[in-house]
Amino acid sequence: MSAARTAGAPAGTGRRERVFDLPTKVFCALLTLPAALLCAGSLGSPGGALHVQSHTMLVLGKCLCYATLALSIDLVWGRLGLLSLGHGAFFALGGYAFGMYLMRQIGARGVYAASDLPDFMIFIGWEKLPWHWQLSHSPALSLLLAVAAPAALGLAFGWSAFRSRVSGVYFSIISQALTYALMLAFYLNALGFGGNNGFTDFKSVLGRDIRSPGVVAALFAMSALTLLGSCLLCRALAVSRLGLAMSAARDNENRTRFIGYRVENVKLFVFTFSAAMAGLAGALYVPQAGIINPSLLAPVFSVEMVVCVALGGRGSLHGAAAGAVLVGLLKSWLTGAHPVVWPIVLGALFVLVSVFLPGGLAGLVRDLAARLSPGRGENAGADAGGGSGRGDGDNDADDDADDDAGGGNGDDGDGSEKRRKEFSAAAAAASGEAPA
Amino acid sequence: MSLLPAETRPDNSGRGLSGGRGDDGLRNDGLQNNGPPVNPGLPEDFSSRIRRRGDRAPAPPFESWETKSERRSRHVLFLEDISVSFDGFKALSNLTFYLGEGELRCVIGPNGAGKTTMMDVVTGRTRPDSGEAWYGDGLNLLELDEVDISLAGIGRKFQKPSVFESLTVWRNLELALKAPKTVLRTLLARLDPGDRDCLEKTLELVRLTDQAGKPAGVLSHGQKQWLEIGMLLVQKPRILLLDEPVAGMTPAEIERTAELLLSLEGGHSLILVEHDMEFVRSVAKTVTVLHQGRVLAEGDMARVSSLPEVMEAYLGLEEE
Ligand SMILES: Nc1ncnc2c1ncn2[C@@H]1O[C@H](COP(=O)(O)OP(=O)(O)OP(=O)(O)O)[C@@H](O)[C@H]1O
Ligand SMILES: [Mg+2]
Repeated sequence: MSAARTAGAPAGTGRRERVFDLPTKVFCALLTLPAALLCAGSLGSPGGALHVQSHTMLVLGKCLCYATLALSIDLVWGRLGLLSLGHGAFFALGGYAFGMYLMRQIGARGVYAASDLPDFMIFIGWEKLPWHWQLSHSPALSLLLAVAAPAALGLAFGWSAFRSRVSGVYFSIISQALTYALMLAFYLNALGFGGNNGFTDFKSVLGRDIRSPGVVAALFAMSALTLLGSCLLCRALAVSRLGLAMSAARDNENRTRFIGYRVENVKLFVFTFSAAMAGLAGALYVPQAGIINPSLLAPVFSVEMVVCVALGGRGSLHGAAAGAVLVGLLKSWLTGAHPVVWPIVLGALFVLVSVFLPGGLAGLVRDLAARLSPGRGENAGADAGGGSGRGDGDNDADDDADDDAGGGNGDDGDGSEKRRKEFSAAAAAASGEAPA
Repeated sequence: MSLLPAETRPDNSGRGLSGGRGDDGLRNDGLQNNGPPVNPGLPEDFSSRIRRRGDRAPAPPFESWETKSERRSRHVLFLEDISVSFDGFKALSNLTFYLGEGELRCVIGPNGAGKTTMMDVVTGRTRPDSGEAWYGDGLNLLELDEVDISLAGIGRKFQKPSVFESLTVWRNLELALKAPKTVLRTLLARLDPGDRDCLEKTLELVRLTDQAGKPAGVLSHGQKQWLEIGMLLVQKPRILLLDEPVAGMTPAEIERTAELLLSLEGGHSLILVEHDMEFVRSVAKTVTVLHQGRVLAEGDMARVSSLPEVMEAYLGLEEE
């Protein structure tokens, strides 16, 4: 045994994980191949057998954006233990930022054809663009804003929450309050975001018809690439040492501080990154959905995305993305066919998954894979049982490390009795030796 | 008063510190990266602290002042007149405690004596109501938080083993490894061969080589204790605080732990809290007995354990 140990460097399993592990490879393949085929199909001649309609592409493209959003939620929930019920805010903010550009692209083709201003501004009597629309002429700057604005909001929100060590359910509640407050704000016409109606009736992007097959395919491809890139970045983050610190902070925040990590900075970094990712997804979502209004800021949307993550498997990253695609497809089919049953189906799905599939779809796939290659599964089980037989007899009754100071006097009389006996025996032995 | 800065730290002379471990590097790294309130290298900061320290207490008579400063200069950690109370209950009352460079000190005492609370004060988890706590090159522990204190070279093993159960043994160690621990440096951190070597040696030392790839959650209680000791070692701290490190270990494991700790003596300073008297007897030179938040006795084990008041405290003839 020791020979084996010295020969090959110790257990390869202890080494750092790779970014491209098997599930990631499978995920990349399942994403890129169909996406490429779909793009090709949508660009093919409309009569062809493999032709994919624009409508289908738009629905799938939106699902890919949901998937990126779900991924960003899973990064903070699964890896950092922060359940954000307000990630829709970052998504919507990104959407509004890019939506401003799309509104400007309408130009004089609006209902009030006289002016370049967006219709809703003319409607409320504005004569020039407000200051926050100044970047909206440029697609690149708008896209940048779609990432920067959510990131800034995430940074500010995270900073105030983590600095005062808000966590657990309180964090979930204030994140929900954040998106709710933004929703109320965005309903106001005076804010310059179209109020109730938001932005819609987009005509073109980069000077091309926004519903032309080329643009639709390009938007779809960008959504797929964004999902792919986000997924790989999240993986890279998760397998880095910072990823270890994230898991550590999730499992025992205080302990992590005692080995020298500023947990609040780790959280802030990851949360901001996640908000930026959600913003980019939102920016790509809006041209495909053709509309953005404050309903994306409603808490229910954020909660729906959290359900997607739970369905896909919390912490699994690709699982969460897959869950969002499936739920997105289900939703778009059901809301078309039987709109009333959608909330019921969603709720039932959530309950069923949390009761019967705690690991989500990703957990299910992992179990199936383990069953198909029995050797590995058995060994892991045997190993897990192996070490537990020894030296567990002594008192295990202390509190958690976080409050071990509080456990002092609460110890049962048994333990202290034993300790007293031990001590007096030791003392007797010591004083016996002392004269010598 | 102005004499203090020069003589407070003896280790500049190179005595006691584990040679080649680069502990100074660790302290400086940590301090620069995390911007603690003070930089011990700056003489202004230093003297202002010393002055503040003097301001609080009226100037003592010359002889006692000298002995006090001398005593301080010989020690790597000192707590003076520390009091901590929880809702009126005094967990520590006027505790004074000095730890020498390279010393292994055992702290014993009945349940609730305040041993863990003392560690909480040293590591910045509990702020005392009054008193002073100084460490190393004139760092005021009461002005630093847990992270700064850890980066400054005080490592701690908790009473209840608290390893990160979902991470593998190897990754628990990697995470604890002495390195710059800011977000970006951590994100880009790679294990260089030296680190790898250090981790492998530590695994060997705590006998967890075969468990390296397993999640820490499946380890036995004793193995978790060892993993936590390993995590402490790879941080290469200057002071190690160990709260009941052998609880849940088999006699053979305990013996090995004793060996391990004794091998650290000299290179590191250790504070060891333990209820297992057999174990304490096997490692301790100096023992401090805490009782009801104060130091009841201090000295070698044989002398201390023969004192009637110590026997009394342990045998449960409580005054209340
Ligand atoms: N956070 C807290 N709130 C209230 N009381 C506390 C707290 N922490 C410690 N105490 C009390 O302070 C006293 C000292 O506790 P401490 O944990 O330091 O004892 P100990 O010497 O470590 O005991 P043990 O041997 O059982 O670990 C105990 O009576 C304990 O109940
Ligand atoms: Mg204790």
